Amino acid sequence: MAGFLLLPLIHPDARSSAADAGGGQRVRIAEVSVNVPDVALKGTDGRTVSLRAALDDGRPVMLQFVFTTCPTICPLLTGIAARTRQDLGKERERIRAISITIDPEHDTPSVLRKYAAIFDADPDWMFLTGSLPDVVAVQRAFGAYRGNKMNHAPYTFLRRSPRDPWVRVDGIVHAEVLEREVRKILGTP
Amino acid sequence: MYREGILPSGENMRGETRGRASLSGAMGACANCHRRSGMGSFEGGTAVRPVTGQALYRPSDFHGSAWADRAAPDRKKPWPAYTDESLARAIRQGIDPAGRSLDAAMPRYSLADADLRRLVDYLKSLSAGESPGVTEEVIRFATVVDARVGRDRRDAMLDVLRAFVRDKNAGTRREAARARAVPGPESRKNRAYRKWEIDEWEVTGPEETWGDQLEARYRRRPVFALIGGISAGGWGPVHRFCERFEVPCFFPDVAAPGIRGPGHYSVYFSRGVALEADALAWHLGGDPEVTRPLEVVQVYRDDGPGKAAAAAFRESLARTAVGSVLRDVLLPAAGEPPARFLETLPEGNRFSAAVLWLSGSDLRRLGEPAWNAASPRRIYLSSTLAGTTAASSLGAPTERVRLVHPFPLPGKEGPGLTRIRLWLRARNVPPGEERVQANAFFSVTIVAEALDRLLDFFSREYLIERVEHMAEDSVTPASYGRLSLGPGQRFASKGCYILRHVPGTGELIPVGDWIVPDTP
Repeated sequence: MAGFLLLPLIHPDARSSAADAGGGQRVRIAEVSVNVPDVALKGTDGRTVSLRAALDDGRPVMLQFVFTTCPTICPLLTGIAARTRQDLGKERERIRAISITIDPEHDTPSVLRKYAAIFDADPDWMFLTGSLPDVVAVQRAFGAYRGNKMNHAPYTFLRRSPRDPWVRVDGIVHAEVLEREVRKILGTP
Repeated sequence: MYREGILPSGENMRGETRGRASLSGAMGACANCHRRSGMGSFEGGTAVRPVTGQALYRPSDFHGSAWADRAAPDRKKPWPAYTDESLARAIRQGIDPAGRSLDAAMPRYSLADADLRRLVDYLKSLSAGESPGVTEEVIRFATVVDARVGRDRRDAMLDVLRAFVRDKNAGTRREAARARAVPGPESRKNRAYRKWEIDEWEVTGPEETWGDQLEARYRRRPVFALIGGISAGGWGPVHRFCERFEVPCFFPDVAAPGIRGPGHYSVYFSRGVALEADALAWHLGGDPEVTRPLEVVQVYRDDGPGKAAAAAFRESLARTAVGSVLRDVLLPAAGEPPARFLETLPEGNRFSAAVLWLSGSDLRRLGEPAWNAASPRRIYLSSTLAGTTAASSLGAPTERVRLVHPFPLPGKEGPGLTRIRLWLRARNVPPGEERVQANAFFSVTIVAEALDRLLDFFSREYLIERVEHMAEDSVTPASYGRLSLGPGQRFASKGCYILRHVPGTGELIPVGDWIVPDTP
């Protein structure tokens, strides 16, 4: 488990927006320290991508772990990411989005390509797969590995730059909450 | 609407969550979260409650499923039973009958009145039917045995299934009597108890006639599900029977399921030889030693596995663009192959690889074929069909031979096999075909574990959903390395090794990593 820089805090903004949403949904936002392993993953075109290079392309980054046959959480996480990117408009080009499958043996590049198309993913949104050990290593680095993929947690990770800490958004977040977090990172309120 | 997210008009059903994720079509279909059974699911802290009529039209403290209590956001504030009106409000506005917001994961759907009525009617009927094969006392299963399967393999499977059932039924602690004595929700576990029976359905004659044989047996004495099963050839008729009668079939021991894509009711260890074929083409496509254009001759029997392997390989190889199948050598489905049949292959260096989709005994009959100094440069064998020791009988230099191997590396089978060995010994089951025994043990164990979760709610759909969920968690006492399923996934093992011989030793080592072919 990656060490926490700070104790997970209930973010005041998130709490208030969660209250807007009602239903007792709480979104926890915390800074986490992540040592990204140096692994080569594959994009939807089947080409090899260095994960570190993809994360450090000079832009802020938003990262999620999903799998395409997931019944509940992933369509929502991906759907909220899609809505956020849509709402950001032209601004979305300033933030890289990466979705990494946690079921790499099923979610091959061609399966991910179809999944990305369902959500109208824009060109700055990558979907990555890889070998199972590599994908497990990445999940462990982010403190997101739960063994059985059906037990995975609804995390969205954000980072302004390689020098900044990762921010972990935990919960099925409201698209507006996510957009607000993204805009903070982009510096465009 | 429920299963596919398509409105009667043909348009996609659309929903939007409170978090403004919009979901349409299959992504927004009710069954995506609530599943075909309607029993809901539990995933990563999000509980999806059951939506069968039986569960909805009763107060929320009704124990409709193992998860009913977890699905209630606050157990101290149960909600009253739904009515048609309050259900409409829940679907359209996300408000429960007590006036509270539903979970953030639940989309709200703007449905026309007529569509909504149809959906509600469907929910009322969902999983409300009878459960064939289940009586008050007995739950009946069957296993399909192809009469052509040799005695060793057949006994290996049946011995394990029989021993398991003996064990299971002997382990009763008078649950049936206790269920009668203690009424109420606490006795659900006791009420769920059934004596197990597994019928052995032997199918004989041409495969085209199997469908009728299975149907006749099923009509005479219905079963809840099929467990295991074994074939020496194809499996397509069993697969189609299961789809037609909606009978789940869990993990038959077959080299070729005989289908291109997954169905709904049959769950397999893998795509069998078709997976091997795809992995081999994938490997050849990336092998720097392969000279292009690669020309391949493949030899196969005119039977289910042979044809499935050859067709998949031809298609996959064409996709990789490294080369093509130059020639197919088709041997009759049964009987001994013609002596020295490889001599009928083209002369000289016109091809650089031979792929032999043949059994160990066929390979042993090859004799001393005309392997010359240069050609074929590589000979590929199927580990599923030929086993791992057939290369030595090939008469060809073993450094040319490669094995397509959809199993763990030799010697690295893991603790699963130890577990099955101990289990068999404790029950006086004679050691036999180890792969078959291990596979049968996995099939029957996972069905029993999944069935436990159903309690007394005997739904086939729910059973499949539980197996999908549990496959990844089970310690795999099967001959496969890692088995994993997910919603809608029907092939649990998805990759292969290519093995080569270490010169001078009998040792087999991998060429490169575990391959998971990307087959669009």
